[in-house]
Amino acid sequence: MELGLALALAGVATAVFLGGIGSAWGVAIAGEAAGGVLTEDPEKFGRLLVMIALPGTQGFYGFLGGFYIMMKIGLLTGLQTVSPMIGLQLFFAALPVGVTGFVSAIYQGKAAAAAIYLIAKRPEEMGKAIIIPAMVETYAVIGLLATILMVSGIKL
Amino acid sequence: MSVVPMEKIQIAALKQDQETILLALERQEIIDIRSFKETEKEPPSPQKYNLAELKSAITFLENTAKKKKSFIDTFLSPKEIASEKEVNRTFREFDGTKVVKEIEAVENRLNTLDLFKKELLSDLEKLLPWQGLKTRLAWLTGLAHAKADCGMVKTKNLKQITKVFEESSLAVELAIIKREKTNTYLTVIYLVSEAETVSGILSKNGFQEVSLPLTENTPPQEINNLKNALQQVSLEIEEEKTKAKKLLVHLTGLKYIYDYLLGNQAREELKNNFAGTKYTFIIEGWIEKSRLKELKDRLSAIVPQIEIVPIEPEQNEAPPVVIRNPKAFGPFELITRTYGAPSPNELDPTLPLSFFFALFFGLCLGDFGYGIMLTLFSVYFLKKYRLPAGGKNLFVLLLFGGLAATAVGVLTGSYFGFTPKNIPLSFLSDLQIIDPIENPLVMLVFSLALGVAQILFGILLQFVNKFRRREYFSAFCDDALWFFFLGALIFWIIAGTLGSNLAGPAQKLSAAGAILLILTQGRNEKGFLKKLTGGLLSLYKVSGYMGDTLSYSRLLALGMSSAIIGSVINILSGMVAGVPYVGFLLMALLLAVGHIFNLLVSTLGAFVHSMRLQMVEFFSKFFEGGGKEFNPYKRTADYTILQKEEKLWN
Repeated sequence: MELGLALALAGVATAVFLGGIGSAWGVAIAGEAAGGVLTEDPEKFGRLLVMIALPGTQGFYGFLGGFYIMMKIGLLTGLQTVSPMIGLQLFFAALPVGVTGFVSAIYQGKAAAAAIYLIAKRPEEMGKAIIIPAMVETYAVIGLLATILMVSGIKL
Repeated sequence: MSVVPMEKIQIAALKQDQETILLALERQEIIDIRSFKETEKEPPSPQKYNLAELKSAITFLENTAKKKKSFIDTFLSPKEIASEKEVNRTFREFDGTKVVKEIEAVENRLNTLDLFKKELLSDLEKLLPWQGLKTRLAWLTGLAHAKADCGMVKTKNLKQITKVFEESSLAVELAIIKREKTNTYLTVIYLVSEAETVSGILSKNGFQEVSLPLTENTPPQEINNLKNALQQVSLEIEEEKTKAKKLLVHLTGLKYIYDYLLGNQAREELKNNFAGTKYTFIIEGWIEKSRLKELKDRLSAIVPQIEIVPIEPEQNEAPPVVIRNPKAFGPFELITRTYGAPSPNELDPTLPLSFFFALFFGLCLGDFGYGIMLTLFSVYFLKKYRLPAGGKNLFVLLLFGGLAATAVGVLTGSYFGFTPKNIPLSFLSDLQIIDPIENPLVMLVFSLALGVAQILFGILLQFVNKFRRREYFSAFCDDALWFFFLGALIFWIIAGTLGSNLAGPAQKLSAAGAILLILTQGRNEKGFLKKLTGGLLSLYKVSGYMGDTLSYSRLLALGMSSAIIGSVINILSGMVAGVPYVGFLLMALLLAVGHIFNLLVSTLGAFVHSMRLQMVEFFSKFFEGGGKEFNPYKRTADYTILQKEEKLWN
């Protein structure tokens, strides 16, 4: 039974750290771009902050996926028995949010950087700029959705 | 919900009335001026003031006032409201030239003083370690046989240097002035005849010469003098700053003058570009059809000799676009505008998207507590700050979204992440119709159903669009047919899943729809075979519609994410509550910070993704955009906006 729990926790860990790494990376890419723009025009800080925050959501999605598994096995309330096969299933269920989150956050960071340059030149086009990185995020949302559906479908 | 009909007009009048007419037009913001005669002539610049100098004076005063801008202020328009009478009166009666000269003088003086202060400071810094040297600095040079160098070495090298000189037969005296942890400051006295050897040894051991000012004073005296000078300079700087502060009273006046001049300059530029004769001129431009009469009546009341006639637009000239909606829906124009104004012969998508946007936003945020908070925040911002038009619309949208989220929160049983089970109010459970965390599948189907509804609605709008453009054939063969086919297909899927006996007829209907599509969709191809394959291939569009529908699954995912993060915050807060003594405090802090943070992140996500669903999934069915927005001729000003009532005709 211990192996099952370990596998489930490996799933939790994978979802959380992949999403987190991706977001940290993506936010850093956007942040570097914003830093450059801010040297010229510090007044744009508010607008740019929103753009920097955009690639940060994958970290939450990863945490969310992980937390959903924790709730499933009752890690915080009262531990259920997890067979090795169920543990492995939970591990695989954690992968969509982890991997799509990891990759999409980095690319969303790049798209956000492009949007930041757009705002630097045309601050009035904030609305359009914010949509560009959001297009990338779609796939992280889908990954989260797949994880949630898979986890809720697994019978303990 | 519509694109306002426009009319192109020509205004012909006498040149003597030009200024009056332009002033009236710019105040009304009624006409989008178009055709110009291109000229290279520079407009005469105002003689009395130099605009650039005026601007730099204003900037200086603004920096002096130095109201630290708050984070929120950076989003707001810095312009102040002024009355036009006041602006004009200020220009006539207030002589800004003198003030500008004064400001320039103060600014220059401040710059010089700052520079001087910096010099003094760097001198002082250089001298400070030499406080222990009690010799007049000028005496260190100009001796016949001996030489004295001031400098520093690394403290760790000091022993080595001392040793080298002790062992050599050179006549050298090392006087240590100050010993610090890393550096030691010392004076080296040696014979001129042995200078070369000594300086060789010194530089080998990392001795860095420091050049001190050669005054008749000892370093302590010199330091004292510098300190006095610094004090003096600081006093003078303060004095100048007080002077600058006194000049602040003129800031508004200067801004008025600047804007007055800027407006004049803009008008002069425009006048130079109008076609006309020696005594007359012509303005061409677009106005709203319904306002033409108003313009005619009012202008001829002000200026008797004027002719305003509608004219034919040039070939391929598209009119500028104004969209107008009932007041409550106006803010949703923000989304339409972000995508791009509709082209002149299209439906305005604002009204159709408004319901969907608010609903989607509500589903994505999906919590009673967050909804209430967002609503209150929005109301606060709308009341507290004078927002520019776009910002106002944004907060009204957030207000609507917050209300929708409140309702969704009640129906899905989410209260700051708590479920009705956690709250001792029994009627809350009765209000809850679904728990998305327990039954994500039901919620997923609901989200997709909303998607299907919006997509079908979009196809319907395209049908209307084509009907309005009198493309009846295409309207029926493409949009109506697709609507029918997709509708039947969905009906078949639902009936099939439920095991209803309507599945059979639904299947036949969708087959009929598919056959009709195969027969019609390839009609633009040449040859029978190509027509057939074209028709068959068109069915592939079904996969596109499927992808669009699946995109709406984000409604479930985002809604769950805000609710679950909320409950995580609650669980963590519950855990820290057990900490002895400060537990309650920690819990309160974690709850407040956590929920506000989640509210911010979830609101951002809800807004962006609801907007995306409109633009990508909904608009692609019927809306092209690409219209040029109506950009009326209006007042040019950097610092002021006129009071609203003055925009009326006078």
